[in-house]
Amino acid sequence: MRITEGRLATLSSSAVTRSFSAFAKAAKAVSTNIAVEKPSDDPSAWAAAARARARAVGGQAQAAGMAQARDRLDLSETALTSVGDALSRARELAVLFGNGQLNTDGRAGGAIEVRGLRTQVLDALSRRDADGQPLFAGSAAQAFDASGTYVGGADRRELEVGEGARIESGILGSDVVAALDALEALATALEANDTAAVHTAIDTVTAGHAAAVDARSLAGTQLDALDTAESSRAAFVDLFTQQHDRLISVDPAEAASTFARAQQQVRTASELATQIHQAFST
Amino acid sequence: MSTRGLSGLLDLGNSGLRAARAQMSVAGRNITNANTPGYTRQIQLQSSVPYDGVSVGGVLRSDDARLLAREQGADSARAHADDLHAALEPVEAVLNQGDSTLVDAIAALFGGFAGLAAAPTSAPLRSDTVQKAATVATAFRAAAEAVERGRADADRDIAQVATDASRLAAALADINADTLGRDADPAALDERDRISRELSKLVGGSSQVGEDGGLRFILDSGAVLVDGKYAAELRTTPDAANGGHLRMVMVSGNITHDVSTNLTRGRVGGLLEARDRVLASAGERIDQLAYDLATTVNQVHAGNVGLDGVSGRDLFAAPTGVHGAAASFAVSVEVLSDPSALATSAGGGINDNRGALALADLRNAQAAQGRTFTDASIDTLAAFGTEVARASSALDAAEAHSDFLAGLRDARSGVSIEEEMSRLAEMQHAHAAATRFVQAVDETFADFLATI
Repeated sequence: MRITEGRLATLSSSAVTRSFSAFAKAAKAVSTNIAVEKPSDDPSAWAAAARARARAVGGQAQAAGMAQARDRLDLSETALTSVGDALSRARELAVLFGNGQLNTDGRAGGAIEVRGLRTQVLDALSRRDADGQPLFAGSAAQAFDASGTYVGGADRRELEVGEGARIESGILGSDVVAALDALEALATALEANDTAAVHTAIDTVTAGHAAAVDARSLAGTQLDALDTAESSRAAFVDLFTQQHDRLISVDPAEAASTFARAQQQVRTASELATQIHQAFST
Repeated sequence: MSTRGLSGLLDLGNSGLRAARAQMSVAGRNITNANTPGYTRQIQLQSSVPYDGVSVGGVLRSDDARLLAREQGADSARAHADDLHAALEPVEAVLNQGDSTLVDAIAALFGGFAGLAAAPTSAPLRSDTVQKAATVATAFRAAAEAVERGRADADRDIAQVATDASRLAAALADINADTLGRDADPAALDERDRISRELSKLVGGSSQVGEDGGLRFILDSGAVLVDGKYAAELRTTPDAANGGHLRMVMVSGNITHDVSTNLTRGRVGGLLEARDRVLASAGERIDQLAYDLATTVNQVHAGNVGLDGVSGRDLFAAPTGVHGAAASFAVSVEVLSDPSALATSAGGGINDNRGALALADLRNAQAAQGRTFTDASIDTLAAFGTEVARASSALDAAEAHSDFLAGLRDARSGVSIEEEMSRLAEMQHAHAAATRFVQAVDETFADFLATI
């Protein structure tokens, strides 16, 4: 086939342009480590990467809510610890006043202390979180009324801790209302100077204490579950972030090899162009 | 055997000189035009005349009508792919711009609903979730705007193509007028071929040279754009049936044809395909997704109750229909101005998070034409990416084909300086030999005169 000098020049110049373009692409891949920047680079790889990224983004967006749920449980646990402490003290008092050794004045003083413990427990069970929402009211806006009657909701809050994974979170005031009732019974018995009733209240206070301990234990279990879920969520986000990165990344060995080849092509094309230019010049 | 006198021998030598000069002239023209785009190598015809030396004929262009037709086809395919790719690439860039693509924005919104369920009364989480909804709205509007801008840019380019094509058609007609029925100047024929190729790049079509030497340029619809010295005009006019986008018409005298439907090649073919098929389809898919998302989320949201105890409110401004849903996508004014209006309760009080969970559940709802919203958004962008990749591959293939034909054209019609220099040297020798011959005859003639 007949090839003119002009055609040779065009071909050599195209070869240089093409080789530089391939070199730039290879250099970019090596320096950024990214092979798929946009859907048209590789639609199916991009779609798979976008799915992975969407899952990671969705998981990441749950983090703040889960942190708040953890804060609430921390506050609940602290409150329930103080409830348990109050019930322990009340049980000591019940045992002390139930054995009939102390006099009427002593029991009246004990009644005042038990009333104080009841107020302390009611305050603890009426605590609110950073948003001003009650910790022990379920979905209601208030856990207890002034008399200590539970007026909160009956359902525990569910949290989404992963894609479709939910756990129950939060302690209801109804779980620990026995503590208030026990303190009320003990205080009433002491105020009435009724030794038998005080004696009977020991069991009630013990049951109230057990309720507080159980509730605290439940809060601890929920905290553990939430911590596990949070770890899973973070791992989930990492997993899909890595999967996304892997799907859009270049294979380092392949990228280095492509880069070396592109470099060689640029050299060859440039030398060829120079030789053709020199041949024309002569 | 013919006999001739000494003066006849002088004529013989003279014909050799004329032939050599003519050959040198053509070689010189070829050399000087070696780098002129579209120049076709010329060949000086000459023939031997028995007993009378050499006769100098016309100048032949080393062209190939069939190759020209193939090049026109390749040019129009390349221009089609080039304009299609150029129209789509910037739109794809916008659809994938930044860290908040439509896909990410939708995923983050549902994650935000799930997060808000953990603390439905949290003011920061509410503001954050409303912000996520606003990001979805921004992504939809940006996508719709990018698609519409792409279509508007295509309109602008189509109008320019019509103007340029009309100008070229008129220029072709002018060349026809100058060359019809005459021995045409090779340079004029080169220009005619060049314009034909340029016209094919713009609007596809093909050219035919008639027996009278005139060129007819015929559009793919069969409509004749240039016939002899007459050229029709291409114009654009808004098409009410296509949202006011431009359609192309051919105006010839008082007759107007709509030629848009059959303009599938050349720049205009690429622009029309980008505007009316790829971008229109992407726009429809984005609108459908926006409509489905807004109506589905609104339906759940309206059944929920806000912190103020009010239900029945939309989270997103209710779309009036599928068409234009993305362009008008927005967070409702009530929610945007007061995040406490974000309805996360199912009616059980402000700490009831079941409404937020119901909103989060929509992440897995097959509510986007049988797919999840995330999948639908990914499929939409991936489908667009596939179109861009296809256009890019088509462009590569068209360029390769075009380069191949350019090689064939060069082999047939290109000027080789080396060849022409050799030819020039050869003709110099021929001219010198003819001169020497004439001198010899002249000397012989002088000797003869001296003897008488």
